[in-house]
Amino acid sequence: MRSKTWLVARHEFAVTTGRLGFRIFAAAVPVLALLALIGIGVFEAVRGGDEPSGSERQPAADAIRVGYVDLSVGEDGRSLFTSFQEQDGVSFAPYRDEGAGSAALQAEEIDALYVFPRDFLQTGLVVRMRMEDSDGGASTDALRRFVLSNLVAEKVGDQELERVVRPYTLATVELSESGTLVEEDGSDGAEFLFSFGAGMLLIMSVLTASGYLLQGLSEEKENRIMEVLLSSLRPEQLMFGKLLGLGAAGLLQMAAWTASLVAFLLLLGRIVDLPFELSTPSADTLVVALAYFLLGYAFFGTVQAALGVITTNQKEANNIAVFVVLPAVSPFWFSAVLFEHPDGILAQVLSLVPFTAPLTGLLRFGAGAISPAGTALSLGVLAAFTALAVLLTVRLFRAYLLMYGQRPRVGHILQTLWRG
Amino acid sequence: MTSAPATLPTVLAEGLSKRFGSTVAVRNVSLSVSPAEIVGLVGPNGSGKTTTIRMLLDILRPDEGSVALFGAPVSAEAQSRIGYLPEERGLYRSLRVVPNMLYLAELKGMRREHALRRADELFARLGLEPHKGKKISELSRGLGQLVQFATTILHGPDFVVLDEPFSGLDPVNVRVMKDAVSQLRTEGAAIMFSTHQMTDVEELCDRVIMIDRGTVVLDGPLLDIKRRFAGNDLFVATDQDPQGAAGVLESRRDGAGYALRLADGSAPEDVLRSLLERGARIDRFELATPSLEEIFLRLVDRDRMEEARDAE
Repeated sequence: MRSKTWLVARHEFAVTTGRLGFRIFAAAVPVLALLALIGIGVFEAVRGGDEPSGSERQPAADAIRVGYVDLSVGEDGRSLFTSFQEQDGVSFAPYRDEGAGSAALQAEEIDALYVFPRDFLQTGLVVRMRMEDSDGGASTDALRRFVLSNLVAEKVGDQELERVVRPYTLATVELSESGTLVEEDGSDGAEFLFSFGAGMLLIMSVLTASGYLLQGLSEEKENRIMEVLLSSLRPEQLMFGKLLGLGAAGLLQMAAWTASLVAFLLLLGRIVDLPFELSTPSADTLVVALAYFLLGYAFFGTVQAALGVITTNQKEANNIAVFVVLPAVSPFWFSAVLFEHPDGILAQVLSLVPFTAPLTGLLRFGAGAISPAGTALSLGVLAAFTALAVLLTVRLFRAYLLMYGQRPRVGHILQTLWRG
Repeated sequence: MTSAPATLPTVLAEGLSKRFGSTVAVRNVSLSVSPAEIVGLVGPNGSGKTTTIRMLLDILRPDEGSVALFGAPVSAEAQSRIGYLPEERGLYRSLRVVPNMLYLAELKGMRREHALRRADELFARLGLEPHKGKKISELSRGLGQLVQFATTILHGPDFVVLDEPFSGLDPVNVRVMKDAVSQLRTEGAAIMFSTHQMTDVEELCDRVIMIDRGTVVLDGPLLDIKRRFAGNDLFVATDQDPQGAAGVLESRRDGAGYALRLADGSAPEDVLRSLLERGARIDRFELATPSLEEIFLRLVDRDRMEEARDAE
């Protein structure tokens, strides 16, 4: 005889993945990623490469062309802006006066006309002229380079000029109390943001899958099919079967989301410059993420199953599920603190509390702010609480699965949890 | 279908008790059902019938007492030989008929292909063929009930428990289901049948178990019970009012005859002799057996009166 747990798991997987809601939700991320990609691609195409990027930088011939009229006078009595007319894909074309510049602007030979007045050195004022309803012109960065290069190039070397234009890039290094290097922080926290995204994905999948469990149990109680099921199998077989089947559905959903997001980032990197380097996650990261998903799902799924058993209908179950969802996403509320201090006390505590461990643990692991032993401890605590939750939920299953339309008293629930 | 040996009851419960908080739902209930027997389980609402059934099926564990199914304590193997139609009907409303039936049959250990073949037979027998592709939510209440009944017997159970199986069915479908139940008995299944419809019990059951306030108040073959409650009343179809005949305490017109209540110590033969001596023509003369409903009401009323007396 085949395992009844397996039969329940197969049934739950088939029913859940067959739901229109599941399919829409699972397809939402891939579809949104595709739409975003199309949107960005179209936008870039329309801009005609205004802001060329990476390997696809526009050649100078296709650069943005702006004009300028230099009326300024330097301390030595000469005009200030005579050189460095090619800047970051922007070509600065000189015009002898405003009339000639305006005519070129109206003839659409240039996107904008910059007029440097006589007293520019004293006031710093530049007048930009462009056609009505146009947003053409040089980027702020290109204009600044053009001005700075002309003002100081003859007085400083290339490297000093670069520092004048872009004074510094900040990198933070922290030391532990023992004086060892704790972390070398990147300039933009990209790794942390990656972990944040992955954590969000994980927690959404976990909560969605466990939510299906809650919904399924409530439906079975409302449909009165529970009694028929229990004449065929034991409550724990039903519970484990549901956990397995819906966990597999959640894993499938997460795989679809992850694959589509990875594909999205890879394709996006070919269209625009990404502010971070894409790299293949290490095997360690994948194993830890999978472990947090499986244990996190088992924990939240079991807790949601318990809620499904002690509530009387789906509406009530959904209302009470808030008390599970809120703690699960609470690490997001502290994201600023976790970002600044991924190995701080709060982060350490949250990665040991079963409701917050999946998300916090993954965030800290991604940021390299947790040791292998710390990760093992976090996963171990989560596993222990999951086992406890399973034990207690089985007791609730035995006691309340057949209780239709009436909610057990809190005192009785506690008694059942304690004595079984 | 594999039957337990003829000498062994299919289900044997001894001293079952179940308490929910301070409420005693079932108290020291013992009962049995044998192969090829239909037993009617009757009793007023809240009397403990459903709790008893749940304990027989191992859905609830008794606080005291034991249940043996097929001669052994309840096991997974024994569970797969049970068919249960609960009073609160339940199928997956968003699923179609066949997947519903297949899933529940597989949980009973049936192979998918075999279940499909057997389902087709039942669809034909129960007139469900036009509906087998529909979702449960698209079926009428009666059709849903027939589908649930088909699901209950799909795996060829040896012990079938039917809780109010005919409620909500039209007369045609009631007949279809009654025939199917009789067929199950012919095939050797032990059937427990819980209902409030005493006429159905009289029509189908070999034996009756009555539960009131959690205890068994009556258990025996239907005819024996009726005889036990028949008392000394008579029904006589005659051309003269028997009032005044020897031993007749009260005579009341009842259809084509008279219902007579006899005085204590009077025998039916005394009445017959007296009537014949008075020259009456007698077309029918029989002991008046009460209907099961009358017996039920009499027992429940007696219990209620005792309850009231105890309260005082």
